[in-house]
Amino acid sequence: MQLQEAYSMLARRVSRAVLAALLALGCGEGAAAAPAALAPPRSDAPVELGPIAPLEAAKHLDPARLELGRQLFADVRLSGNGKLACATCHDLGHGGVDGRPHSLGVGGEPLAVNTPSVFNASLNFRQFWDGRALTLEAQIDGPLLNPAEMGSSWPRVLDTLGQDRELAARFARSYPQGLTPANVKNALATFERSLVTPNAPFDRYLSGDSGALSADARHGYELFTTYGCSSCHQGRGVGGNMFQKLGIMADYFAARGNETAADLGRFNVTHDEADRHVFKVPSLRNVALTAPYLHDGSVPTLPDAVRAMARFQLGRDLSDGDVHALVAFLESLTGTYAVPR
Amino acid sequence: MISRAVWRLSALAAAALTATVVFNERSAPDQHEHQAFSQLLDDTRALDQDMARHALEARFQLVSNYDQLTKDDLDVRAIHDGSPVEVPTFVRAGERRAIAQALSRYAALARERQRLLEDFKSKNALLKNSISYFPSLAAGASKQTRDPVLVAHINELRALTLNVALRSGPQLLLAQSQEISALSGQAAAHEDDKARHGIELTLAHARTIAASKADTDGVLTRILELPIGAAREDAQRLYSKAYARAATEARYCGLFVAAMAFALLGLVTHIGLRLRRAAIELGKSNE
Repeated sequence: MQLQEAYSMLARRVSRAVLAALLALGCGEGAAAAPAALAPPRSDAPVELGPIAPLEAAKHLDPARLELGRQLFADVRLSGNGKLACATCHDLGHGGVDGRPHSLGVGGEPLAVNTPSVFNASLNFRQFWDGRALTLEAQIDGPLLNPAEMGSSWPRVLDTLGQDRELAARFARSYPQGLTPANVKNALATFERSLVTPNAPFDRYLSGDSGALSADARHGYELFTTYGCSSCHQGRGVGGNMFQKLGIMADYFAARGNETAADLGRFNVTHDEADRHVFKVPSLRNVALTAPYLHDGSVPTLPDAVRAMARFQLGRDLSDGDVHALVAFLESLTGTYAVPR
Repeated sequence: MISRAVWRLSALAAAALTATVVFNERSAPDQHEHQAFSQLLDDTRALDQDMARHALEARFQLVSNYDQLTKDDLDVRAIHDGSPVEVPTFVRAGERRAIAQALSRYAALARERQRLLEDFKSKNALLKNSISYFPSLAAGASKQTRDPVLVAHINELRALTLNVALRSGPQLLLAQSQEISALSGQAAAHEDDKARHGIELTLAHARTIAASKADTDGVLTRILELPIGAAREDAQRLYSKAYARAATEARYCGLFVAAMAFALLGLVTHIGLRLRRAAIELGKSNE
């Protein structure tokens, strides 16, 4: 085989040399095969073996694209009525959420599900509660084009943004194709990839700083693993990497009442009966900042969310002491957003 | 002076040489493309092996998070969804169709594998949840009741359920099921609400362990038995065959080019000699 390859290469070189000579003599144009681009490298995210892995700051992001994304994230021109920006619901000063059970769309009506935090969204294996988008880029179409959310369209966005010559010039400098839907999405997604929050007390604890956690938080972590919470809430994101049914040990929706279409969760995407009431397990990073909780925003406080999860997922009524410890642990997952250099 | 036949032969040789060179340029294997496509197939094979290994590691708790499986999913998507690598251009249309069909079969199986892996992660999490929670739950239930018969049943159920979690077999499952029924009957008659609730919860997680273990192992078996390796090897085999065919053709083309080049060289030399002789004869006749 190697001999054959060498032979074919030699034959190719001979024929290329002869062809080049012929071309030099003006015999015509050759058809040179365009070299194929190499396969993209595998993702280099660090992978740890414990239930929860420490988080690292975002790296390898294009600074110009990130800055474009940062500007667009707060740009109300992306919405149909020119009043809403991504940052309206994903308030970066408020844990990446707006604190409402249901954010309000362009028409002032509450949306179907609670707004998930944009911080650490890049760690999620799918986007949205029902996991219908595979990537951050694909996710952007969801709120932007939904008439109830931002109520816009790509022609409108491009037309509006295109009138901003300075912005259009920056796009032209950062992207060969300039201002296009794909590039707007890429800029926004690049910025969102920067929104990771490392250096939480629990990250420092995992890195060997035993003083980073209070005794309550350490006890809470023990409970978190003993009670089986870490079976779903695990990995770098402490969640966000799998689907799970809400209401494993007790019927959450019967207890809450008023079931809505959004409560069907993953079923709305797959139409598979097994996916009824199945949702993406949310990341618990910064969970202390992102009240109210659950996909329906029905649980106002973190202790209430811990009790609800224990009841519906484990079938257990927790003691106040256990709730206190678990909340202390969850509070230790609050990290800091460091602008990538 | 120089016969028409020689000119014709020369023109024919030059035309054949040109045609062969152009044909070879179009159909000979481009090593850049070949390496890129071979790399894609190799990466795919490595990822398939990684994914099976990572699923097994997750099932047997050698790892306690799903980040590795998530990373595998990203890698598969990076290779197969966003990749600019295509079947090399030297592959003929018929061969290309066959390879594309094999790759399409592979892609369909990869999508099915990802669906099953998501199912596996959810079911395995349920199993792990109950396995990690069950021992403390059973211990708590034992403490809450003073009835020695109930305590004995709870202890027996704990032993059987932990055995079920570790091993398999219809007899073990039957024994656990019988113990669940026995304890369930005893618990229903228990007067203490708190103790009864503790036992019922213990029973619920014991049932979950039995059911989830069967479900999880069933899904894992389906993942491992998917004929994804065969589909990938099919594409690999078809591509290797196309590459070998193109390489052989290139070799023959090379030989033919060399032969034609020599023939052309001979004819040009012949023409040159004839012209030189003619020039000498012309010179002599002018003297």
